[in-house]
Amino acid sequence: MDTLTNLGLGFQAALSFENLLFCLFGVSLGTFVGVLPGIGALATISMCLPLTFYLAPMPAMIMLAGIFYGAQYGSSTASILLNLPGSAPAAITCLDGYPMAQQGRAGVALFLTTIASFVGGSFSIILMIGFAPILASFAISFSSADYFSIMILALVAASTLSNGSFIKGIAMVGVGLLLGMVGTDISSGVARYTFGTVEISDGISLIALAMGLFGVSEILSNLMHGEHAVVDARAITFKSLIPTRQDMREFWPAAGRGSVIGAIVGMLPGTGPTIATFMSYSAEKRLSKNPEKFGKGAIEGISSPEAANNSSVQAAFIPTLTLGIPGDAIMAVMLGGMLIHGITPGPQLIVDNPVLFWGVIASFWLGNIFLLILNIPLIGVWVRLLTVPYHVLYPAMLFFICIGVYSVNNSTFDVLLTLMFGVIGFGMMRFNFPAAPLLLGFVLGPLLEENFRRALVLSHGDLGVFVSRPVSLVFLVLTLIILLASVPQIRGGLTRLIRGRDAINE
Amino acid sequence: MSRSNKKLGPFNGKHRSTGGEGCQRPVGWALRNPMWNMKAITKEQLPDLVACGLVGLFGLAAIWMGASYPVGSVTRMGAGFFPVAISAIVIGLAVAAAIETLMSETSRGTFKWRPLIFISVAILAWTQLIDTLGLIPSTFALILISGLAKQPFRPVSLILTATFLSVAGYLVFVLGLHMPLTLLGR
Repeated sequence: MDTLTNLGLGFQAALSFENLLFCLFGVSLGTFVGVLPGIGALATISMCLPLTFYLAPMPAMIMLAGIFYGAQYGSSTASILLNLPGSAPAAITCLDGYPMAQQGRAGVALFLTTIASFVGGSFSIILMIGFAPILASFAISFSSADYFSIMILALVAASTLSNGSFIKGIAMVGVGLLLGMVGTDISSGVARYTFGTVEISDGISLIALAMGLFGVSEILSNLMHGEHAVVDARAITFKSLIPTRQDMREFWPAAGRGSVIGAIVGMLPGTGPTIATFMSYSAEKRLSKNPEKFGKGAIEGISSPEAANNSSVQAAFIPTLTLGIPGDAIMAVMLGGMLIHGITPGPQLIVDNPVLFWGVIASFWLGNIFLLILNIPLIGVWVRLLTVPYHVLYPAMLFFICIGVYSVNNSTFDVLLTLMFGVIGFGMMRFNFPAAPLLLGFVLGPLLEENFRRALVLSHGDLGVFVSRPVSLVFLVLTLIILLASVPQIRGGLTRLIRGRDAINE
Repeated sequence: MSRSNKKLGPFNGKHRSTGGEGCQRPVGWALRNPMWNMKAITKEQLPDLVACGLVGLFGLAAIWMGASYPVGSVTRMGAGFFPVAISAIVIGLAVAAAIETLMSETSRGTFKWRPLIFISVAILAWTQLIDTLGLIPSTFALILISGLAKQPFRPVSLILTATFLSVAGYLVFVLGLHMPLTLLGR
């Protein structure tokens, strides 16, 4: 078994002291920011990205990935105790988690969401071990045209499947693509959109952009709206964690279904954990014999989405590592981080750098085991974190944002850029322009353009190359289907407009 | 709140019918009445339209600048082709988003100048002080000014936070990562 040998190699690498340490650090930090509402995994990963420049690529990747999936474990805590999601995918956990807490079953909810996260994560890791090498060997024959079409699918899916207006979503992808073009054009050496400055001749700093759009703007938005409730940390005792037998009977099938849904959604380009949790929740509700208990503390209502959440997060590494195409904004930042470290994710990675590839995968499992320990016996520590007041938290976050961005190039210009994107990001949030598609567009922009240009060079300028290649055609057809599925929104809106106008004119 | 009650134009809620067969007018109707959307703009929608307009302006600026780069041919594409094509799409989508805004309700949370001003000033101050006065003064300026963004102002806890972060910043970034920062002064 080739895979098993490789996996053994991976575990050997992941079990080194340094890698274990950074894995533990990553998942702890991830849980920390996951528990705290108002700091997302994305802002944290971009904050830590400059720190990883001082590390070898492998511990760096292990740590950044640990933050990502660690945050998914932690994010259910605030949902259950405060009815306030620690991150967007955990919003659905509020629906049944908070009623459980009100019924005095917060401990059980915390325990089950952790187990569900572990089940979901493990499922996708196994899937990744079996599936990633096959996908990579298949993807080696992908041409530029195929890559172009996959990226188009990722960008369109990411902007249409999220909440809100898909027109605004795609518009933000376009803005992101344009921002990604800032700097020196790789093929011709022409400086584009640099305004003659040196600072952005290498392009806009990914870290400045991500920190502005997801760090500063988040702080601004939190300061404008509302206070956080305070939680009673003493209520969570070890004994209160233990579920009943009936709970477990409802738990397992739901967690299993959630894992499968999460894995499928996570593997698709452009779909993130948020969609996975929403899909699994509605699937559970539809499958349930008594759907009326949902929203009142149903075990299935927390188990399935939490399993789906972690399953999709782990599965999201499959397209990123094997194709080099990130599925959502967080993976886009991860991809950016890998490129900075000189790792080019893609079908070649598994061949050229098997120790890194398998080591990172092995670390996922170790990380998930760490998280199990961190989140069950130590849950009380994390719950106490929720008592940290926001007036201490946000100045500290600003400090880490400033010094983190500054440390990349020792340039205050990048910090000012962060401020600018923070204000822009706040405006976007206010007017419902989503920031995640922008970031995805920014990272994919240069790759998209390069593959588009290369495909047309190879086809001697024939645009038909995008539909004549079967792989490319399949992805373009999928894109079209997703776009058409969004059309009822337009049609519905149009009918409403005409009806409204009509009624007024009568 | 019913949308028609918010109209600035000559129409108000009493003209609104409950709908029915008479409402099924063809799309062409809207196109034949070019002024239809002018009357529909409400006070609430105006900022949203401005936002869409800004996206459109961004696209226009990008297309204008992009046009100065060599376009090349389809076989050998120049640096200008892709930016111009994407800019055109962005402009089109900005227009579409504006039309969509006119057809939908808008809702926004409260807006306060206070956080926006103090967070901006805090970051600006940090960028001005870090290279001249060093880590400690810039950290204190950042924390104390940003602390003004949220009422009530809590000087004691902010000073404690700033002290803690100065020490942590020194340990992690200067001792640990060897960043060329001074604690105080050049």
